[in-house]
Amino acid sequence: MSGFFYRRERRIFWFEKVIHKPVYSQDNIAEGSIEPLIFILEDEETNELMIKVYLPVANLNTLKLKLLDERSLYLECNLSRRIESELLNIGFEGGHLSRYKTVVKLPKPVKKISRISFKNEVVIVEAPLKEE
Amino acid sequence: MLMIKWVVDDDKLDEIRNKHLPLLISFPDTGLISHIAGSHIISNLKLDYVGYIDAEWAPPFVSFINGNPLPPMRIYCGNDICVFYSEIPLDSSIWHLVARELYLMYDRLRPSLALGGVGLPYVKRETIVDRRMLRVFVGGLNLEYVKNHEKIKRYLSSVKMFTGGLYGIYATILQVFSRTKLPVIIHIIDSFPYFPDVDAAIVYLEHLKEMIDLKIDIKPLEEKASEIKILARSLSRQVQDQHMSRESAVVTGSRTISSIYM
Repeated sequence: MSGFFYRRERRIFWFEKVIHKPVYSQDNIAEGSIEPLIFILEDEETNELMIKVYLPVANLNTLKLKLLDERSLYLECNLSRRIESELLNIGFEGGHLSRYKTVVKLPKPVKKISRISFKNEVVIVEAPLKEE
Repeated sequence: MLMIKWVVDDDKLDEIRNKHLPLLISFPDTGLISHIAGSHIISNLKLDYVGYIDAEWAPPFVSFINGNPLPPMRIYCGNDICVFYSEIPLDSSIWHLVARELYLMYDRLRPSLALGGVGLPYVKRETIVDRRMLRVFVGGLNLEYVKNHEKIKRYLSSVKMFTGGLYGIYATILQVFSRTKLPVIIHIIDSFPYFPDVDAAIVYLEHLKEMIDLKIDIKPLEEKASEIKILARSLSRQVQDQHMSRESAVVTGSRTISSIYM
């Protein structure tokens, strides 16, 4: 059974520090944007980062992805329908959520975005690593 | 001393005890499988709130429902099932304390068996679109004591038994419950490693329906799936953080850690 869910040589990186992280939301409800869940893998075989972004209820026709610099990936995508802010149970009423928006901090510098694919509500961005 | 405070009287507790109901232990863990399933069971079957953990070590968290604060770890019971429900992921330093409370609660509620479901983190989970293709495994404790229940026995003979390591609060529960004769059945289901997996939770509920004859309507959960995926982001982040803080304080270079790790 070993090795069926990921290869050993792959490493997992995180888009932000994981210790002492506040538990409250990082969303900007006032402007109707929410931050998607992200996780990042390094494929040592192909020498690239694979950034997986979970985008349920997204309208992918509006997906914007841009490398701001070698360590920052900007992502924006509208939701396919408006979600009322009450859903998030954070005490912000009367607003609505309309898009995902985030800047992903990459753990290693990358050259470019080489491939974008979408499967089962997950956007997968592949980016070859810059030689250090 | 039992840290569980009951909000119902002794007659009601005796009534629950005499039914010998299964107890679903619902903690947020990989894929939030038990958590989503537990929430749905509580709301769909309209279970009664019967008690909560009142301990100094309980997380400093309350959940407000219509202005009323509720503690983070609560117990609900109905006609077919009881649910021990934790609103938030728990720090590993209190896993043993919580498991011990469950062990002590066993004496008061006398459940017929304890149940739990966790995700098997599959890094290519997004490639499985049809939830019927998710693999389901079972592992447990004292399974010989459920062998008199024909339905559960049939069910257990039809599913694959799990081989691998289990890390997390469900492992602690298994360790503590090994002192009892209570059967504990843990389902392990393919899941997104760090995203909420509503499909896996639905598969879990389908298996519970089959195994213990739970009369629950899964359709409302399917209809609310999109909202749950958005709502559960914050909880998933906390589970991610908890998993990662167990591993290392560094940002990079960490190998994936989850409740199930082989």
